[in-house]
Amino acid sequence: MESERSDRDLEILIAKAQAKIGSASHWRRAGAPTQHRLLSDAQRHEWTEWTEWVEWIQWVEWVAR
Amino acid sequence: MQVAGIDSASMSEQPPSSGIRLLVLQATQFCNIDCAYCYLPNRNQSSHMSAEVLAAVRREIIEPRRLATGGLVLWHAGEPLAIGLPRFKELRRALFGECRPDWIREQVQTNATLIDEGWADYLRTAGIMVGVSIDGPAEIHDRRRVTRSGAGTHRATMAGVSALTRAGVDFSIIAVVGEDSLERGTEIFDFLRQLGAKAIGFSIEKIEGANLESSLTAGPHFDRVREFFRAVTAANLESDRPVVIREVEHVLTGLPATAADRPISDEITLGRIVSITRDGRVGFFSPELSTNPMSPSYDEFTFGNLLRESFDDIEDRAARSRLMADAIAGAAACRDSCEFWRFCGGGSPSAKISETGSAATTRTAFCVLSKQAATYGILDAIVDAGVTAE
Repeated sequence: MESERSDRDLEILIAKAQAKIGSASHWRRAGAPTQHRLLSDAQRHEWTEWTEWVEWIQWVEWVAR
Repeated sequence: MQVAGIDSASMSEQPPSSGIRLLVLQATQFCNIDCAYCYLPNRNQSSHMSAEVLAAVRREIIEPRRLATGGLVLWHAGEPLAIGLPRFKELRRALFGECRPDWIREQVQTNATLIDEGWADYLRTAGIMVGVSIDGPAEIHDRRRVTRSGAGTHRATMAGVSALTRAGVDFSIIAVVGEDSLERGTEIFDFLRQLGAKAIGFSIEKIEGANLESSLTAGPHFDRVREFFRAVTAANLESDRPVVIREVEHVLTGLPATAADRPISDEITLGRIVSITRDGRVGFFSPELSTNPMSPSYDEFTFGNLLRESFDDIEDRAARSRLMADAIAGAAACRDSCEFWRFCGGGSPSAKISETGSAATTRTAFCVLSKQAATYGILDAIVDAGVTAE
């Protein structure tokens, strides 16, 4: 099955993504990261209600289809 | 969240921070359309939830403050708007009285085909969040989101979305992703974003309940699903007006965690998710289970009826059930064997039962595609993103 990828592939991707958005120790102090952390200042400015909807998405782990 | 019409003075005492996070209410199992991939059986039966059932929910769940602060009451498992606005108002009065407590969120998940000016105005003034089910442009949406006569529903859904927009109602979107969608991720994302959705969830089409087939299978479609989520995530990160994408948030939530940090998922934690069927039966774990056809391995997916028993008695029965034991065993096996545990927390008992017959199992085609392939694609996009966060 295609999903039978090595742990190494996933570990490398996770490490690169973590490097992209900050250290694990920082996250633990600041809470879990959101897409907000990946956006430019201009993009964030366009999104004033981001926090509210992120909170909703994270709160409701199961979301209907 | 701004919630209009709430009398916070009457609910000044804070409810517990733990407790039910999601309470699914089945106003009706009827749906006015007939999507090809729907998991709901008997969705042509038009009976409604009674005010007596809602009064029992109020007595057993709302008034004892079993819902956590910020807990969500979700009208779903059928098309809730199909009962009509007067009946919907009557059921809400039976549940909440004149106003909903301010520590409770409320949402309808709807195909939007029945939303007119009256519904849109009511949803706004009542402070009810709206989730719209739409799969993308008409060409994609109308292939499987159809009426009982096979006609597409895109035009009616778009009319409902327009009514929401005119009334100033914010909404989220759930889009089902099938094989037809996989090479069109950016196009679908752009379409949904331009509708004005604040948040989008992409649900992989799955075998579940009454839906016995899926256009997607784990092996042949893994790389294409990965690419779909990479494309969608990249398009959002490059957008001048990005939205919240549910799957990206879930990956980011798991990214800093180690396996030991990740708690078991809400779908496997007794009392986190509660579903009430239209006739008052109570289910736990995956909401889809409460409406599932019976499985040879399990006597029941609901554990009692609020019209006849207390919530405590029903929950005690669920705690001693084979389903509970199997769901925990399955999650433990996931934790011990799967490198994606930090992003998942044990998967969906409903998907496990639908695919394998048992909740005590681990990998399903659904988790391979919706968790593993999606996580790879989202991480691909994050690694390639041009912006380095602070």
